Amino acid sequence: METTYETDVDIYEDPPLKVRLRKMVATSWKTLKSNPNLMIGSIILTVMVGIAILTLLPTASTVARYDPTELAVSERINGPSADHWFGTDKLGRDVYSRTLHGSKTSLYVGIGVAIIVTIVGVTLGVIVGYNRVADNIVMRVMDGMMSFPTLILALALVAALGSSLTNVIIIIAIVDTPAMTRVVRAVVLSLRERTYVDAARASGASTKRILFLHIAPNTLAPVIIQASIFFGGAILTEAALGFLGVGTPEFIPSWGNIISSGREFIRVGFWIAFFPGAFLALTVFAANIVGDGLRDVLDPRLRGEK
Amino acid sequence: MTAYIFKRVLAVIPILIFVGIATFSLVHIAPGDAANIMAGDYAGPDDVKLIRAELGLDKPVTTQFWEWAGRTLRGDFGKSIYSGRTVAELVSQRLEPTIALTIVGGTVAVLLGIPMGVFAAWKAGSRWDRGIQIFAALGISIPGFWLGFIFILAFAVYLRWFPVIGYVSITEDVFGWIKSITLPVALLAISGSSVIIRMTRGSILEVLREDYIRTARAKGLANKPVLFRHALRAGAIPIITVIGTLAGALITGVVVTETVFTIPGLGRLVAETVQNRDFPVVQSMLMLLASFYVFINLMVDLAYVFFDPRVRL
Repeated sequence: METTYETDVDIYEDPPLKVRLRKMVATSWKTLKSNPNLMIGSIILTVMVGIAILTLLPTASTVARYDPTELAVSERINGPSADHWFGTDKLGRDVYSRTLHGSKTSLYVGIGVAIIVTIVGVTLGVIVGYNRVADNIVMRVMDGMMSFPTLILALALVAALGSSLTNVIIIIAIVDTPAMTRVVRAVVLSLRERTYVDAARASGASTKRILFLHIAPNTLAPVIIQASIFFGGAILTEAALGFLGVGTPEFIPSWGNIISSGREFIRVGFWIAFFPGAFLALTVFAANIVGDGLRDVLDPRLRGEK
Repeated sequence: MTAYIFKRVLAVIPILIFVGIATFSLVHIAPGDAANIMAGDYAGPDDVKLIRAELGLDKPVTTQFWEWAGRTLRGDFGKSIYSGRTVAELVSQRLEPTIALTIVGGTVAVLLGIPMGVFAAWKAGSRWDRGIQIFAALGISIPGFWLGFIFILAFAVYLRWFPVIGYVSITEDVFGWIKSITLPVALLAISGSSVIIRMTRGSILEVLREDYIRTARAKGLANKPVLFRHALRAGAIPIITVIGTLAGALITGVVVTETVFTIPGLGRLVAETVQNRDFPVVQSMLMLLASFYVFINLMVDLAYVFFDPRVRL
């Protein structure tokens, strides 16, 4: 039973995944060179990921120069200098070091949310796109969740669950899941009418096999675009929660909570909030233009049009 | 048409029921005991018991739900654990700045965003289009709280054009009111118009690709009538959707903006009560803002009926 449809690969409209992937990488590289958005965005993100990795490894003390939690009360709120490139905060901690270490938190949140939302959103989207009963139940819940403005829902969940780093990731993922599910569902609804799905069914493939082997891989392009948008959005939301004083707890440096701690020193120490904010803005901007660039590359309807 | 409106209005009911259940559940998904959390670290067991009785958490869950739903439907939103004042009192006190910010900010965002979006689509690929797109990309990427910080630093601390923090009521001093909302409104308008620009540009571009636009051009029509009589009329429909999105962006923006400029509005109230884990107020605000958001989106859908003859059928 399991083997009857293994051999009839050549009836599919599309070439095997491996060939398509190789082709996609080749076109992507070509587009990367012709698409300044994607190029600039990828470079900035690579640098940020590089910084985050360097502060994770034993190289942290060389790159960041100071311990982000090291107190030096005699040096509090000193402006940028040769010793402290981004100045020091109210407890004399080095802002440059805290900013660099903060990149870990932001990228951790961005990547965590993107992965969770992708897994949950694709699974749910594929199932509801194919099953009317599940569709009615799941999509009503998703509609309900989308009737909350996103930051308000995130804030309410923080009030209920508390704000550890893990909770912040889970909360942002919960808030973003309905949008991903909707996107995947829409793609699945149009894919299921395609001839290759009929062909697979005619050759005896089970629904599960059709769903996860034939339909799910073809949702890849819109999912990647969405995931890159959620990556940037999650970093922004984490920072906003931190700024509002309810995000990642203060003992873990994050761009949001550093900016929050610098708010009251705007007259005497603008550098405390300025530098982490610049890093945050740059990272979110990079993620967004990568999203735009990916849409140009991966969305066939727009390909070739400028 | 009546059937469509009726159906669309009815569809709001299950959504509001979901919103209600989700809001009610908030206290119950809190790990441990909500009463414990609210009492704080220094509370004795008696304080916790008092809060629990106050919130009715000592009764069975179903009883709690029906009591809560009944009170909410009658417009009784309970009172703050923290300050002891009723939610209605807190909200009415904080309403003015938020309404002022959202109305003025939203209007400026629409007046800036739609023309810029249409222009960018019309001049697609040009320098102007590039510039507008970069503005919009920066507008959604730059965190409002950081941009607000820079605004305060530049225009209030150094140039001293505007007050650093606070809000002056319009009934007190009109000139002072204008001064106190200029920077917050600028902040809301930048992020709001960026969202609008992207959506408007996209929908007008799509319209410009249609066959009837090509026909209009082929028959020798000049640029202006093609844009204003053909493209804008069809493009207006998806642009209405922008208003729904804008409402969401403004609600989020107001929370952040009011915190940056220390304006005592509803957004600040939300942030403060989440910090204090003041559940009755958090729940009421969640319920109120979600209902408002649902209502705006319902209005947007109904507006379709008047703009798009296809829906009317």
